Amino acid sequence: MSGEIDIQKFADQIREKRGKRGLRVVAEEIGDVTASTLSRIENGNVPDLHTFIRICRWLGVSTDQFTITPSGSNTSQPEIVSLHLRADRTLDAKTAKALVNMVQLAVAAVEDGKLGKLKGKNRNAPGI
Amino acid sequence: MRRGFKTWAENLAVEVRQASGLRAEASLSARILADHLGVTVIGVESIPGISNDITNHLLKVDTDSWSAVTIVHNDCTVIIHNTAHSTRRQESDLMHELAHVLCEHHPSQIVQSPNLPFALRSYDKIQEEEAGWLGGCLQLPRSALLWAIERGMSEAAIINHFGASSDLVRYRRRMTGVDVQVNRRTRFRN
Repeated sequence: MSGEIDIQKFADQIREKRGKRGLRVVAEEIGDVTASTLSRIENGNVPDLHTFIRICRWLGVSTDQFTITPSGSNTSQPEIVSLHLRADRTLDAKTAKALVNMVQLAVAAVEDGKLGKLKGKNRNAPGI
Repeated sequence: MRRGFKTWAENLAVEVRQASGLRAEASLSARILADHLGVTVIGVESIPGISNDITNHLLKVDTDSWSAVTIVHNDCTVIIHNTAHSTRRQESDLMHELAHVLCEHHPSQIVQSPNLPFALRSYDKIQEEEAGWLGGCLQLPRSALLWAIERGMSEAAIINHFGASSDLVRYRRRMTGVDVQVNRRTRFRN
């Protein structure tokens, strides 16, 4: 999946469908999400992919509803092997932006040869 | 975890020490392992061109919600980590990331938005469990823990020798059953 996502629209639709029902009841309905996670998402925090998909299913809409493919995207997407975050499955929007910017700068530095060593240029790793 | 994974992880923890010219019971630092694997480790503040705003946010304002990111690009593997965490936690975080590399785990998906600042990432429970287990093995292999206990090293001495947290030492002692093994050997000798 790649592209832009309208997190505000996402949060608004969740709040609208939830209405006056409690967070706990709705979280159980969505499945595999806690009430506190749901609350954070309604307040604009970023869910992980699994939670995002589950909520879209609950809303009865395709994930495309919230995604916009940007035109003329420039650099190739790096492989993110892991993003080691705390156990909470949401992320503050500013932190998410800072992490994305951090990754973009690191990728640019790798492309400029300012960061990173090529594999195979070091001592032999044990056979795996 | 995959069948046979735990045994593979224990064996690998010894192999990487030997391949690095270390004894099986030696302490292995994440940086030495990273260097051996050709992985670059960098603190967020050292990324070329990073702004004070970003480092301030990630190291001061919201330092609790992230530990490390591993990226693979143009055949380079780079681990960016949170240097605001304690030394022991950084060591544990780096070992966890290196474990992902050694396991050759598939990359997470990430969605970027230039207009609205957020990213989506996928959380693979099995991959996280495997990296967690292997990371613990890399820091504290079963054979090395057994060596330490048989020599009568105190928990504090084990913590210092391996650069591990007390939580990890206790966890590894419990999960590997080394204390039971040592007690049985002692009873047999007596």
